[in-house]
Amino acid sequence: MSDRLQTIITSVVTIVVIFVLWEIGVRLFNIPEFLVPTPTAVLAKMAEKASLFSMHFYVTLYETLLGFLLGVVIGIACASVIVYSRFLANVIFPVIVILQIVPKVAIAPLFLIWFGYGWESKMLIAFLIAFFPIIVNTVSGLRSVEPEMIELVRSLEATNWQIFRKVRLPNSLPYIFSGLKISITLAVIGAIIGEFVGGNEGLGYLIIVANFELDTPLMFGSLVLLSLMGLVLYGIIELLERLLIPWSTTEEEKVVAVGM
Amino acid sequence: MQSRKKIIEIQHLKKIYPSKNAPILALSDVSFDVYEEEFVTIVGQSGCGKTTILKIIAGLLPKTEGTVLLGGQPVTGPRASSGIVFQQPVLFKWRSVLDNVLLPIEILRRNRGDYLQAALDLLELTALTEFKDRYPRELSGGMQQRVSICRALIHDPPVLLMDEPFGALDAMTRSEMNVELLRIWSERRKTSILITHSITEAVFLADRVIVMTPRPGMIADIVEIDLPRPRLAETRVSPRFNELVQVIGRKIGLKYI
Ligand SMILES: Nc1ncnc2c1ncn2[C@@H]1O[C@H](COP(=O)(O)OP(=O)(O)O)[C@@H](O)[C@H]1O
Ligand SMILES: [Mg+2]
Repeated sequence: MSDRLQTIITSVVTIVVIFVLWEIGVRLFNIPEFLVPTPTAVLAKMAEKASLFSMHFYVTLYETLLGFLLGVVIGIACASVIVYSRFLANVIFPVIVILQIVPKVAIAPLFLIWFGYGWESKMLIAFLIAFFPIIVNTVSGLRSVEPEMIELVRSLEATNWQIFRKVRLPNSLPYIFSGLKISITLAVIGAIIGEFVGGNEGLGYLIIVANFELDTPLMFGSLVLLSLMGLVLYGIIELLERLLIPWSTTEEEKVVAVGM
Repeated sequence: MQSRKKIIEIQHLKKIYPSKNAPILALSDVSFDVYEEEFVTIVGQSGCGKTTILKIIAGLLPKTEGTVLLGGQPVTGPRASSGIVFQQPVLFKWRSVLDNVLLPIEILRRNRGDYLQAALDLLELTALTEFKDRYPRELSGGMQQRVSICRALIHDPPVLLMDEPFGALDAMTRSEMNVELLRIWSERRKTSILITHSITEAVFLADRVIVMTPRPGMIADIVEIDLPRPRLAETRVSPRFNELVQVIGRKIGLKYI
């Protein structure tokens, strides 16, 4: 625990020092605000436009969470189907591979045409990006069961459902969680991509507006909130992991890296 | 012995593992019986088909030819009437020791509460009471294997099947586990089959030792072990014990023993 505390203190101090140096640097060299605002100017902007920021923040959060949850549900369901049916695996895999190969940023405009300029298209882009690490990790988790575990429960006349519920699913939880941790940060990116492409809400939209108006403090404020969102969501998943699977040891987690 | 009930009857058992190029003949013609409450060990070199026999008895593997009866019934698939212990403990790492022991009860959809006391008694018997709420990774190899023996016994199956249960343990722990297993067996009196490639272990535990030839698996001989029970650590240094070990070693085909 004291190790953890030390880590936290070190991180916080580092961040504070960076901000202080930043503030001093900008003032010292007289850098104009539209290039780099001081941290205090950003904070002032955030305080001034608090209700604007919070409104756009919640929109992005909403799109991110919906896309992520959709990714979790469909990802785990598809993974289970793939593990249990060779036929359906052969049907699903090519589709997934194609979806993964197509750059998400490039299909975002198409999604806006299909699903409109509201939250739905953003949610779907977030989903599309978040989905892949979940399905890949879940499949490898469900498959990485010791054969003898299955033999043991089979010798007790276990049904297929029991084998799934009592053996494969719990065994895959550490894998699923490492997928979730990758996915949640990707889901934020997905929502932002959607907002960049079109729409009139969300922190991504706010960044585009700030860009047009050369309102750099507004842009930095949005960036701060986006980082906070990613950080907190990631933290929540890590907390859930610690609460739900305290038996897990990190070295057995398989982190599957994915590009966009 | 002969007047007792036969629990396991195996006649002319043959097993061929299908394979595209060259099917593997794992067991050519194996016949033996195991009587009620008897402790039989099967000893033979690695690859002679010991695990294959056990899995066929457990109904986990189909046979190619022959008859296998368990409690008078032909074995057609897995049946909960046998408890199984593997070489590795195969504990579920997400379950506490107690929950691991109770796993069979959940799979069999019986009432957990009815077996809680039985589970605690088994943990007491194997000196694991204070570890009941721990996760498996917090236990030593010998303790983990004791948990898996408790798990095999919890639903009170008439038959206990063990496949090299102490193979992964160091020699000292292994000798201790042997004594401990006999203590459990003398209390619970299960019809037991234990596979091993250690001749001393086979002799120490068994009423009868089934000696197998190297591949393809056949029975070289079945040796009655007339050592008195209860068997203790001292049994291993008795002249009769060493004599039996020598006899079995020669039957397996070992030149030096
Ligand atoms: N699933 C399998 N497929 C093909 N051959 C197998 C399989 N399992 C075991 N065998 C072969 O059958 C023989 C007996 O194996 P096994 O019963 O595991 O022996 P033991 O337990 O005595 O070491 C070995 O030669 C092994 O290579
Ligand atoms: Mg074996």
